[in-house]
Amino acid sequence: MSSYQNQKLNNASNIQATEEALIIGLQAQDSSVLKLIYEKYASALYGVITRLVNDDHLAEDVLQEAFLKIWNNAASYEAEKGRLFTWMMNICRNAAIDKLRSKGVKNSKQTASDESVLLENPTKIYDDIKPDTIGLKELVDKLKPEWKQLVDLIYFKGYTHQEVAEELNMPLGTVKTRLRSAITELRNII
Amino acid sequence: MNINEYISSGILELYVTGDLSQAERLEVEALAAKHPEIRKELTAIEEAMEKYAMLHAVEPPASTLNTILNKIEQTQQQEVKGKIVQMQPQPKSNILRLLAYAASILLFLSVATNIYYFNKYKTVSSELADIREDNTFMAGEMETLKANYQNLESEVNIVKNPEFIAITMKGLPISPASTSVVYWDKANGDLYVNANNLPAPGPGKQYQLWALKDGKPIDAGVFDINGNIQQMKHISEADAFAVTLEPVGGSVAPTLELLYVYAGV
Repeated sequence: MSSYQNQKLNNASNIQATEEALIIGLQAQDSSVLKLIYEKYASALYGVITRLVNDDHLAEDVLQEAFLKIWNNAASYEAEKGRLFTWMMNICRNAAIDKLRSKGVKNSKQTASDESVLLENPTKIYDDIKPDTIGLKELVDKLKPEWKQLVDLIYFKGYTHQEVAEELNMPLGTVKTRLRSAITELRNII
Repeated sequence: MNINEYISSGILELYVTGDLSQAERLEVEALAAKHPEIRKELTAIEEAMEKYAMLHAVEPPASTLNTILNKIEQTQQQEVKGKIVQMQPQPKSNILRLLAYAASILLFLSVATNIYYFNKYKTVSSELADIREDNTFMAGEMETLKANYQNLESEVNIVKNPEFIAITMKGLPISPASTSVVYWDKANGDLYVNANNLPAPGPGKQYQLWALKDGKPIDAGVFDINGNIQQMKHISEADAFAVTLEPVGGSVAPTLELLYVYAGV
């Protein structure tokens, strides 16, 4: 077993244990637990938000609003329906979309210039990658570029698979199978 | 449905990457709850995307956490303030509750005391009734004693009074052991008899006292054997006194066959 796989197993069990504790604390409305959740997940969520709204100031607003929603709607989170991060991620994504709509800001996915940069140079997205994940980054870089592009457009840019299909002139079914293949490959790496 | 086909369709990936409508999300959640394989696959995708997001983390501005925590604190304080308004009656209701407890304790004590005193009252009043009864009895006794005393006093007065002469009548053959005494005031005719050792008269009979003057009997009245010296009719003149047994109420003339005691003056 590789050291990565060992680390992965350890991390997984740690995450599992901590996540349960975090959920309990969050649902008990313990603000010190919200602080822990923030410290653990905020940068990952902010990474998604900044990519969605493309504006640091707006992104900060969205992060704040999303965390208040996470706090206020903690009771509605159901662990059996999915992981805490996925739930928070959806809240952030929806908060970002709401913010863009309310501000009349067009979603960055419709600003072709940014997209063309991304599409032409898919690795650009890793510019702000964390130093301690360099090893992983290298591994992720081994993903087929078109797969990474697909994942990033949907996960980070808020594209729907229909939009991706149009953007990349690809049949809808192919988008879905490629997304699955890409994430399956990701699962093997991470 | 074929679970493997559903898994490999790519819909779970779209679920995790947030690219599903509300209805589709609910469908995935329902199926995941039903089929452990789907749940397991979904969790694996979630973990992968979570790590992928971690890999692309961007540090938010340093102040954001405090801003969020301050907002939460403000909300909580507002909630607390809101609650304070609601809570204000709480001490009152505590006081009310305390008062209610105190009142029920007092009521209990009062009832207990009432029961205690009622029982005590019952005892006391029955004792009182006994005492009253005793008192009534004693008063009766007193009356009797007083009457007896007055009787005795008057008898003593009669016996002691120098105006009276005592004449002892002796038993005749019909009842030789019997004696009787008459007390007679010659001056005013007052006459008393003490005939307490005569035999019981029997039903329908009564003793009658006679005064005899010049051989003629004069009715001096009938009397009962009651232990007392009894006042009889006024007799101004007499040579002798005698007692006969007569029908109740007495006779006009003495029945000489039933002459019990006799004495000459």
